[in-house]
Amino acid sequence: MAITEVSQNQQGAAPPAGSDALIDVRNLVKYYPVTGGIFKTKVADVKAVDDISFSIKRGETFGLVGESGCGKSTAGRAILRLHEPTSGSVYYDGTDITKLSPGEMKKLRSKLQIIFQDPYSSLNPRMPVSDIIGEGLIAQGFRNRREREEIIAFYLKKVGLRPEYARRFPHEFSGGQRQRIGIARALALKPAFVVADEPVSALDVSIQSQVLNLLRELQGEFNLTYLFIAHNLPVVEYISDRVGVMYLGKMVEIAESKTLYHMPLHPYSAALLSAAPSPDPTVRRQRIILVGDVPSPLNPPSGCRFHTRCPIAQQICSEQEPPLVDKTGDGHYAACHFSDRVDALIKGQTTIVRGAVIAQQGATEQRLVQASDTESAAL
Amino acid sequence: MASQNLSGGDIFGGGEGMIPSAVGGYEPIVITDADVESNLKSLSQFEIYWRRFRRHRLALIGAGTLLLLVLMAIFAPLITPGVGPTTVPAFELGVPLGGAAHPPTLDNFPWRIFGTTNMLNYSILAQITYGARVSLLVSFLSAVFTTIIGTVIGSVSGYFGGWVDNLMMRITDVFLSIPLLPLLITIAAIYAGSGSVESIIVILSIFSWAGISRLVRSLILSLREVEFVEAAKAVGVRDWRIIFRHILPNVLSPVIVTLTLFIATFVSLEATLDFLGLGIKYPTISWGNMLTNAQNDLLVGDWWWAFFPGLFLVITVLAVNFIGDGLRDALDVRTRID
Repeated sequence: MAITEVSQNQQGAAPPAGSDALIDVRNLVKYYPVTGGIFKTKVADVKAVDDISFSIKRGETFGLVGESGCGKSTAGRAILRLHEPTSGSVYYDGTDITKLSPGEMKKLRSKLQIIFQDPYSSLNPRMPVSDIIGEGLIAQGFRNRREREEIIAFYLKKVGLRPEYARRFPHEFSGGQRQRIGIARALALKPAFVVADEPVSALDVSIQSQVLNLLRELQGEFNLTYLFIAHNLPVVEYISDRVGVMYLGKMVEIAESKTLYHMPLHPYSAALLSAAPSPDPTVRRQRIILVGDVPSPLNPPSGCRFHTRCPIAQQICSEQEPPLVDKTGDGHYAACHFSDRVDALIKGQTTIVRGAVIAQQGATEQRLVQASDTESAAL
Repeated sequence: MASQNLSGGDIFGGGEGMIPSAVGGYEPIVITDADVESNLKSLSQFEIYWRRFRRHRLALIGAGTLLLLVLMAIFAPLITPGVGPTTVPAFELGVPLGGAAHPPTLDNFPWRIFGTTNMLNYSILAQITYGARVSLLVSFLSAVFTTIIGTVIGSVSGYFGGWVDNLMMRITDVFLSIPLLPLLITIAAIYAGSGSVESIIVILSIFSWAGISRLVRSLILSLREVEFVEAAKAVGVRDWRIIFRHILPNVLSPVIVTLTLFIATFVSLEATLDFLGLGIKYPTISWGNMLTNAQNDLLVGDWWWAFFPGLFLVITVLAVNFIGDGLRDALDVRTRID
């Protein structure tokens, strides 16, 4: 609990990092400056990732979900320093990689890899596969061509492609095959941590499962730790041990995958989950429909960033930013002032109020209180 | 945790270096010499480009034709020994000047093969071989300089961005907004005294690079952000290698194609300037000013003086365009080689 208090003070709310954390992200911030005028002076910041903290255990798959533009891909790239973080730290195995010199970073690159979303733009169309995979090997000091070709052939076989494909060019492959090449490129360097940035969202469904299974298989074999970024909730549930939910640059909830899917403690997570289609047509669920668009990350709302679209928002939500705290004591973090009312929201025992939240505040509060009373009575 | 996940399916697993076997179960990954040998023998980039180019018949014909034209220009004194563009061949000396032009004939081979001029009995063959020097030199050098200026400005602009980009693109805007031909006429009129080969090359290169710089800038802007460049950074590839292996090859092929098209443009543009009397001045002979000099002769029916320089211009432009077409295919990775 002491740690929780400290993190509350930091406003960043770092969940306590266990000694088994391979990746520990602390107060990571990535702003993109917006320039304007004749002299290109900075007029604003796009707050793509605004102070997020989480840790990933060795051998774990950490899912990162959220709608388009919430900063999840930016977070993945900032963690690998592909986009230099504005501030904050990323500890890999105890080392703060944001403080490493370019030379030291280059050596560490082989341990930190990324699989991209788009299998078309992530492979240079002018390079044969053996160059695409071999390039990283050259950069990491494999000078012998034959040795490189052997490693390339091994990983091509491992991801289910034939070694003679090494001479071919990317356009000669299907989307799924290209994604396998991208995976082989990442794996050939024997990484410990892999950011999978929506690795299956560009593939059709039958291929998605193949690639997901391949990723899981490789995780077991090479003892990989994944940061799995996606917007497809069933996919994330399938592959992740823990899941973080992002909204507008903030982490709003972190929980074990099963817990999150059954008992979300943040209204945004609840809304996301209710929007995911269920394969069972007999299941009737309460849909939580969010109105309006995501506010601009140039000028995010005050207090809780979700309060403009939140069905259970109160006065306090627009004034105070809720810290990301462990709500249940067993590692279920949520950043919501009213996380105890989310369950009622899911069960449809709350009238959804939108827009004029503050105007209707009294009435809403009453209904909510009633709802939670009914809830506790039922229990 | 992770290993528990793996137990979820029997379709994978098998441990280090194992893959599902075709006959069921798992088999170890074995890398044989055969797997590697063929890949070690793979062709270099230039071999691949050459093989693709070679399959383009018209481009080969174009390249052959252009080679012949270049050889003709270089060896002009050997083709017409003792006779320059403004030399009267010995056997013509007795022929009266003016109005007595000879049509093409095989008499006194090869001097009259394209006919003679009507003013001083000059051989059109000699004028064409020597004129090729000027026409080809002007168009090749102008195209190369234009491409270099455009590529450098476009690369710097696209790579550095910010105020550098802003400044350079506004300058480019200025050059793009000026219609080329009226400008060239004005400049050439100011230069009028000289009309030398060098000045024409300078004028053509200075006022034509804007389009290429836009092309290169846009290519670099999009390539800077593309995921395969990020992937290369992620595996620790050095910056200079990213530039030379990932960015430049993807920029160069459209640029090379544009270069060949510029050669064709400049051959005819130079001829246009000459024709308007603003380019290369007599007694330096180019195909363009041969056409200018032929204006009056066309009226009296001496077609050969205009026809042959025109024919060579057309052949050159066609040859270069075919080469450009072939290069476009050769540099496109989607073209099969075998």
